[in-house]
Amino acid sequence: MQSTKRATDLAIEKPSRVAFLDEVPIALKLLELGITPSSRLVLVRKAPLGCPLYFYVNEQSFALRQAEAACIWVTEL
Amino acid sequence: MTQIKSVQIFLVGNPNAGKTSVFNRLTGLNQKIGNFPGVTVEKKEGRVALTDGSFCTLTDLPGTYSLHPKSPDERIVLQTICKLADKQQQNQSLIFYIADLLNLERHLLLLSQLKSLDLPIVLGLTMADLADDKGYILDKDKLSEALAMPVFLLNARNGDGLDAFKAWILNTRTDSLIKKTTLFETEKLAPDFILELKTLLGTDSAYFALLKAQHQDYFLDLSVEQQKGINDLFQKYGQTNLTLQIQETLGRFARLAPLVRSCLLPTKNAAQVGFSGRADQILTHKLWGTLCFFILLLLIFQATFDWATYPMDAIETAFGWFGEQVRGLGGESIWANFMVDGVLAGLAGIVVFIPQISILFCFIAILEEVGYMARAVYLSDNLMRRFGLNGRSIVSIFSGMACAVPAIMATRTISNWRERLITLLVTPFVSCSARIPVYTVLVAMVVPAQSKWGFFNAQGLILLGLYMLGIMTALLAAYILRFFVPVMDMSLLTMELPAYKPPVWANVGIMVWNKVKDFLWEAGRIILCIAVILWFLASFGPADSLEAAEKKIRAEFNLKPQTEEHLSDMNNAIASERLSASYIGRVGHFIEPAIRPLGFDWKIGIALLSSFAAREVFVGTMATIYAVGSNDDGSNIQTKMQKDVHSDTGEAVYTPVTSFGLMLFYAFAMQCMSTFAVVRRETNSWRYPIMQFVCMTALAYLSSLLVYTIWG
Repeated sequence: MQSTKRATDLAIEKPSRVAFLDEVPIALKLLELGITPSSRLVLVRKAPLGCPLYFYVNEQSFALRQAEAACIWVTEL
Repeated sequence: MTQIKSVQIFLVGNPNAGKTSVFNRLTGLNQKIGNFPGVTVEKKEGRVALTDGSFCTLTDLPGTYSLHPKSPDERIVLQTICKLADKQQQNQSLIFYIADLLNLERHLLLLSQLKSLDLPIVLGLTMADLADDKGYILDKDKLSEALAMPVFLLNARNGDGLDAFKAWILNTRTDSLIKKTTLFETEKLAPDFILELKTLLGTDSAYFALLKAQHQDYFLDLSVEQQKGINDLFQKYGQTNLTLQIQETLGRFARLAPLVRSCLLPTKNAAQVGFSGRADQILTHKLWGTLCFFILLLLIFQATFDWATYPMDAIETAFGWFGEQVRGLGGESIWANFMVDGVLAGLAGIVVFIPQISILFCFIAILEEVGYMARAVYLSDNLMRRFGLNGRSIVSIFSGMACAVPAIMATRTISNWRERLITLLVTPFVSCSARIPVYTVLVAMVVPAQSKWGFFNAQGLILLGLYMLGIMTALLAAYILRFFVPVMDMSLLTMELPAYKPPVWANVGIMVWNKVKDFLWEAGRIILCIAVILWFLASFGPADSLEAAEKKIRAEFNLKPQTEEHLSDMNNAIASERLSASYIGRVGHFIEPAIRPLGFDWKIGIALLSSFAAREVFVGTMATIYAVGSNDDGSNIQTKMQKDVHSDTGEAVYTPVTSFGLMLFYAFAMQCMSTFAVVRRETNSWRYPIMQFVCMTALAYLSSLLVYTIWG
């Protein structure tokens, strides 16, 4: 059984699956964008100076700030 | 029952669903952009021509991901939708829901919320053409049955499917559309809590009651007792908004996921990295992406200023010609003067900016259409955030190079009020196109046109420096404002990066047209009014002081031989002396002591004062003051200005130092009534525009003072 980690701690290009989201206000917005538990998530790259982060979730691209993505917990695949 | 063609249709959907394209396709130029009452949320309304010659109204609601609002735009959607859900209005309206077939599951979340309010809805699916390429097969009838609503496949690019929709409107009645389905059982979230809420708010609809309770601040029809009752119920059942909303969203997706899987069948594995992914490997790359962004900026900048000169010259020539015709008809009568020097001069001052504004907004529209703007926001968010701004501020700062008025209106996409406020307060520092004519005249006083610094043209470098100065000052001001503007709500970036797609040219055209209309109306009417007032102040003076001034000059010149050269000199001297004696001349003399420390004289004083209406007035005022004839061009104003001396000391007025100080003054001062008006409207307060005006003008004064004291 793989342990969960924050999406911000993922290595670049390492595929993962969303396990759950912390119950914080930003989580609602992320869910509404389709970043839901069991979605496939990849951290693709980081912007200049390390933030925001570029994610693929379910084959779609999203830009999330470090603090926003930190509420997503994933298991590596 | 009501026929659909006589009801109002609302376009609803997520951002990037293709709503704008559908709206533009259905209405064409039959659209009106205004504001929702009391708020600065854009309201787009239009008329759709139907095949039987009748029309129906279409309203484009702002794009939103759900009915739980996080910005003013989304709040309007909630309020509008809930008004429709009130039973009395139901027969009067229809929702045309636009969803992207390629991201169907996510796009159906909002639809499922709307369905819980038992509204009449029709679904339009965009990107149907791309679904084929991606290997998806849609079972349209099955989807239509599961959602209990008609489904149309649309292609906003070529308009496919919209004719079918229009034909359908003609033959359908609203009541036939309200079919109950259970996509989601709201009650199950918290049965007793919701039951009590329904009784308290006197409604049958569980979801309607829940929405009202969760967003009670946005419903003005709630009584004080109801508000108290809602809060008591939240306490009694230990419920919180966030938990309920998260559970609702998860619950809805749990129902939608199998539904979508059963209707939209993949025939092959979707490609991992499509075109957009490959393009983003470069365009959002730390190094290459940033480089591309700057090259793009330079390119747009160059194009805007280079290409625009031709239509601008043409416009000036046309107005000049038209003025001559009026002169020919009216001679030197007061009406001809009013028309030529007041109205036509004012109009020319507005129209001449249209080329630059259109070209710049054409680029901005294309970048938005293509999907690049979101990448620009992604690349600049970090830098912007350090200055208290948002990645989205880059769009405003960028547009500010054309005109601050539409740029300030573009801040509406920033959901965080603090970041939005700071953005709109600092945007006027960015050098807009109105500063160019002023800089062009003044830069010639500092260095001659031919001089070079290294390989570069010296004048060009100074101009570039002034632009950089504007952007730096904007960022610095934002940094300082951070400490004064309180943090009110969460700062968010969370943004979808839509797939790249070729632009829909009709959308680009319509956006440019709307921006130009905005500028003409918002800025144009003020510039025109001020131009007319200025003309009045410059043409009249107390009692017969103007006539006295004219007589004095004539007496001086009568002693000299009556050659043609002398006659024109005399006319120029008369114009100049009349101006000095006019109302505005008196004001100029009055304020001279205040600006003398900057090395400015009363003539510059007049130009400064009149420039507070709009800065480009400077050149026109200078032309009037230095009384150049109608057939002279800019270089002659410059020669005359260079020869001018202070009447008391005999020193030249336009030394490089004063000219440079004057440029700084124009770079910093908020000399634009339209900007003032638009900030007043967007912030809904007098405090911010007044503060902005005072601070910017003080900075302008101090920096000119500094330059003059140190180098002067």
